[in-house]
Amino acid sequence: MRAARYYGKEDVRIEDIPKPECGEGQVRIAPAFVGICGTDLHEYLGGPTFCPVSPHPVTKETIPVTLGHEFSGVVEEVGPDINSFSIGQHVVVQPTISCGTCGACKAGVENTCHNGGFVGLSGGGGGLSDSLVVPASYVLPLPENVPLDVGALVEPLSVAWHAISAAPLDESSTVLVLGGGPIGLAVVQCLGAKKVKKIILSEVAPARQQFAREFGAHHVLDPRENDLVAMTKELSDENGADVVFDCAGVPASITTACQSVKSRGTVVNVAIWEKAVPFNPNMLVFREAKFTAVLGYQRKDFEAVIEALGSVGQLQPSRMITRKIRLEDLVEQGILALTTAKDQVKILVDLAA
Amino acid sequence: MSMKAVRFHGERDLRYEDIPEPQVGKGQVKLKPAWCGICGTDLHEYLGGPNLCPTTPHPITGDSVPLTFGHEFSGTVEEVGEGVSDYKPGDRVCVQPIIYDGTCGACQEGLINCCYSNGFIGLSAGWGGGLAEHIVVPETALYHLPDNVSLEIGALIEPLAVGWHAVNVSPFKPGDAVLILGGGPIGLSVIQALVSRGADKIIVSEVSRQRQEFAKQFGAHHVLNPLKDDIVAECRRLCENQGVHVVYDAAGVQAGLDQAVHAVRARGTIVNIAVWEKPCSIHPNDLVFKERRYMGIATYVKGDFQDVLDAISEGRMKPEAMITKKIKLDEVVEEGFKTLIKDKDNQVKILVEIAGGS
Ligand SMILES: NC(=O)c1ccc[n+]([C@@H]2O[C@H](COP(=O)([O-])OP(=O)(O)OC[C@H]3O[C@@H](n4cnc5c(N)ncnc54)[C@H](O)[C@@H]3O)[C@@H](O)[C@H]2O)c1
Ligand SMILES: [Zn+2]
Ligand SMILES: [Zn+2]
Ligand SMILES: [Zn+2]
Repeated sequence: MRAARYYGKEDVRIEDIPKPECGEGQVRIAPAFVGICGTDLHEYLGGPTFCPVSPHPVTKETIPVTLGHEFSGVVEEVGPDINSFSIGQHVVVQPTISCGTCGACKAGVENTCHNGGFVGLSGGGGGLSDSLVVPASYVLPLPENVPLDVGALVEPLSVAWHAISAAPLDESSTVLVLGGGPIGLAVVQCLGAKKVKKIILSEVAPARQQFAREFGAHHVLDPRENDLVAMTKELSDENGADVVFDCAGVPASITTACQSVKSRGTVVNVAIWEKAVPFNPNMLVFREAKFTAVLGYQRKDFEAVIEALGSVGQLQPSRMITRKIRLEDLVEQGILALTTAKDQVKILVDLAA
Repeated sequence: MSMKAVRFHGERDLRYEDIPEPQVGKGQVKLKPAWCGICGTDLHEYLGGPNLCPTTPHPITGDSVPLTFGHEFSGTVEEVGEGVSDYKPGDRVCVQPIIYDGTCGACQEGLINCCYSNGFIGLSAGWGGGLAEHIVVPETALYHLPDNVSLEIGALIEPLAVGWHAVNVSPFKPGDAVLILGGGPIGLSVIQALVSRGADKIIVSEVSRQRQEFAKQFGAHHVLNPLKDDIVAECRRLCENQGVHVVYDAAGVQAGLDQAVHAVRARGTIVNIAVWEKPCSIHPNDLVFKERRYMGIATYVKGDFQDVLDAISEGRMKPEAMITKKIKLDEVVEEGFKTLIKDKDNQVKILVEIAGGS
């Protein structure tokens, strides 16, 4: 079968590898659509970071590993003891790999497992292949009214859902979102699903500003032209935002976030950072504000997103899909396109194309 | 009429001088300060200020430097203004020094400590300070000292309220393990607040030998030296290989923060009480990959002073040993500030005796 395998920095190969066996407790899935994410891009340009160079504690694999962790697919085969899924069923995979034994896992925070990883990054196969086998516990059914291409958006939407669940929010909250990339836009949509009335988004790229408006941001600002701190205060009776989501992850954004938040407000950091940044704790001290970091998602976030997608009108993210490509074009039209084309939000690989 | 006061004029310029005695007005109380603590913030101001002391008129008080110092003090009521009914001459009190506008969004939510234009009596706004023979403050700034709490202890309520508030606002719950960075007055007041709530695993990291001793004396269960011990490894070893639940940063230095982010467990919280002299550097991923939290703590809110007074009065907190030296008002620079600069390791609280008494 075909698989896109990561060998190291700037080395991703589409090759023929044997199909894995489907054993007890497992499900074989034929991936349908696979999103390409910033993490894949980082891995390609500067990795390996997540991809294991020594045996991964859970999967025991090292590079080369198959990529693709945001995907939907169709059940092809189930293990002898599995009766919760049937052949032909549409599903998505929560790619979290956790050890189940470390302190984080025991505390129910398996997304921060000390030995954790991801299907499609850490071994155990990946979505960018004709077939993969995962534990049945990783698989969630997709409702019939949710198309498979939208299914590939469940993962990034779950990142956003998990993030908004980390902050005290209600309909009357004023929320500032920094960064209008896929994650920032997903946060805007999830906030919309929670009926938050005042969503302010900051983004430099005009195409993404436009997307933000379409997805429901009430005020869209350009950080190069607007004084974000002042504008946020103005839009919140001079108090500042109740919650700020940092989905940009640039040195300027952490400062803006900490200065725009109100007294006892919360900054939720969703961004993954390339390096240490200057930070002045006093920004939080004088306002007693919190800086909370979130990572990935938990099963309940996947379930909430799938439910919101299935119930009419709550989440309509299909316009996030800005391009569909063939597996063979992954590097040129997928990964590399993300570095240059700021008019792209989600590029999906269509395994059937 | 004039009186003696210690006023801050600018960097390394603190003067013991004569200024006019303030007059009491409506809703105000005139006090004779008894004892007043010198605090690290005063020292920062003296060495590198003005930082917090306004050089242009403060939005609430209209005052600017020179300003009378002293925000940790007790005193005796001398005179009360029109409309004041809860206080009478002779009452022993301590002062909650926050100056707030009462109208901004923060104040309306009860967070006077986060008031967008706040300041402090005796530090950053005016209305005088504790290092003077008299001061006039609004009635709302006062707390009665219980009969069994002395005026000397009254001067410790302010720093104790900082530690109390930090523990209150933090997610600490009984059974949690904590790491406290810094065993200065604030670190020690955090220890005391935690002990009074039954914390049974308090780890303190402090460089100075004398302060390590104080930390033990006030109830820390493990005292580490960051120059010798591997703080992160020790915290993991002492806490099921996971690290502490909460870190209180009462040090405010880069090395401490670097340890804190790895000494706290997944979903744990770093509570920063320190006011930093300069920006530091943080790798947000160290928080992201374990969903750790970082929060700022500012002074105290209504309720904290009374809670501390109750805890002392009921014997749940015994802070006397924090007082390491007592000096006179005319010795503030030489025996107070200069001692803290040269001999900080051996000092916790230096109290200035103004009217004195108990
Ligand atoms: N915590 C998690 O679980 C998790 C999961 C996935 C992705 N991420 C991270 O989330 C972040 C956002 O991801 P993304 O997919 O949206 O990628 P992205 O990097 O494309 O999005 C960031 C956006 O921020 C904009 N930006 C740059 N400077 C800005 C500024 N000063 N103010 C406002 N906007 C600015 C950029 O133009 C860009 O559109 C990345 O750091 C990514 O690594 C985190
Ligand atoms: Zn684990
Ligand atoms: Zn002080
Ligand atoms: Zn206010």
